[in-house]
Amino acid sequence: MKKLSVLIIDDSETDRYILKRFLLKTDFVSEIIEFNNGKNALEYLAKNELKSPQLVYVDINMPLMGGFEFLENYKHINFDCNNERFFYVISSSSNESDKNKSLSYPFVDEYMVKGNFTAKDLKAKLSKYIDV
Amino acid sequence: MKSFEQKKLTHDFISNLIEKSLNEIYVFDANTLKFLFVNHGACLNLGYSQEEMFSLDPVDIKPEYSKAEFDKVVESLRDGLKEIIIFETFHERKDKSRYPVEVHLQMLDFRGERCFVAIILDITKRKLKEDEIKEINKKLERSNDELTHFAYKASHDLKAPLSTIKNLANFMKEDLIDQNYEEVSKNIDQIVSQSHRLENLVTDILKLAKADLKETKVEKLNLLSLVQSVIDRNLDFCQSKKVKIILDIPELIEASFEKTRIQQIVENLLHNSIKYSSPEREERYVKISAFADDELVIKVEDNGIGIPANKQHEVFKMFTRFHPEIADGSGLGMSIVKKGVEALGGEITFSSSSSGTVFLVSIPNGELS
Repeated sequence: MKKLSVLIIDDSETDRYILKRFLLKTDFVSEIIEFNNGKNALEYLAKNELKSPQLVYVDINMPLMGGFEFLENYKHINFDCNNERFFYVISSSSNESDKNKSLSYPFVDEYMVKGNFTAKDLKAKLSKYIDV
Repeated sequence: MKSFEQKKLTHDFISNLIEKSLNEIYVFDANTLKFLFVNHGACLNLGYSQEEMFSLDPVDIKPEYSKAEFDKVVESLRDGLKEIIIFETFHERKDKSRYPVEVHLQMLDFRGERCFVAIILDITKRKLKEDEIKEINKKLERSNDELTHFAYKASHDLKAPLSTIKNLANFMKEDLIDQNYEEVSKNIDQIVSQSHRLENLVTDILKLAKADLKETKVEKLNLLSLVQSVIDRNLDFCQSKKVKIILDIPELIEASFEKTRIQQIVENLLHNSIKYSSPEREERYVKISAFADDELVIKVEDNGIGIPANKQHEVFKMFTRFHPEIADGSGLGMSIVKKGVEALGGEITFSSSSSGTVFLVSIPNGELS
């Protein structure tokens, strides 16, 4: 079973901590890299022409560069292997418009509302990326 | 059978009635539209003499209609499809002023010729009332939208820290079993801080709810000491952000106002100015000036980071925070200020750029009102 390398982009330390603990509990995760804004994360992804991370969690409301700006920028960078990278937008907003806007990006797989999911939910979602 | 005398009496009475009526009553030829009869009320309202009226037709006094358009309106009467038509338009006086009217139009026989009888009601007052109702409706719609927005955002902002607390508590349970006490202790601190956030939010929601209630307790205030007491309460915050406070308030200014509300307004503005002070500037300041004559004017000026230009229209909207890296508050502060200022019959304006922000509050003096 191949485990996932995960990137978390969220300015709230507590929210990153909660997500991290959930992810570790799934047992599907090999490493977790964290950023507190979209700008630094984008720079990291641009430098790393690797396949990892395969999964990126991005928050919407962040300083410097928010989630939507991040996704927009990501769309315009030509990554060789980005068709194997999946994005989850994870926000405290349960606004339909935020959800629809997020899912309009072809590489965004899921829209998740903070506080509305458990480690178990996460495990169920991630199992599809794991070759068992 | 009525006698001739009786008939004449009835005829005179009705003529008199029509002539003296303050409603405008017209009779005009169904084809040429020329006036055949115009009562006193019509001349009075329009400012024309009876002679002048006879050279006009109904289209001349209806600025919204051309001859062709008016013909179209009366078509159904001419064709006998309708007995009466009622419509609203404007009449134009001799002096070119206009007033809204309701026109009741019927076709009758008059000395063997077809003619129209028009009875006109001046509906200026009704229109004013209608406009008033429209205005009230708009206000209601706005406050309804505001309420929906509030319920949505409040429930969201209340729920977020609660779910965090729930998750952290679950982690603590696991960590206790694993005897990872360090982690437990860290999460307890987190829960305490999240609970504080929640508490502050609820406090602000209550303040906002009270902000537009009218209170009657007006008292004489010494402005300088009021502002000074607000600064004292925020001294630690001020020092931690290295912000200098400059005061420009004449010592002996007294004015009659609701003390708590003025305090709340000053405190929120000051707090924001400190919170959004620019870490990049050496000399950070907030300048509070005030004076009072027929109105109380409070100016809070800073050289902080400013409000982003594209967000300035949302400054007073509930639950808005423009700098997520700094703002950890409820996002209700400015809504509370605005409601408070408005409840006192005053107004608040601001200007902001990357070199700083100025808020200007003016409130009519309580003593005068």
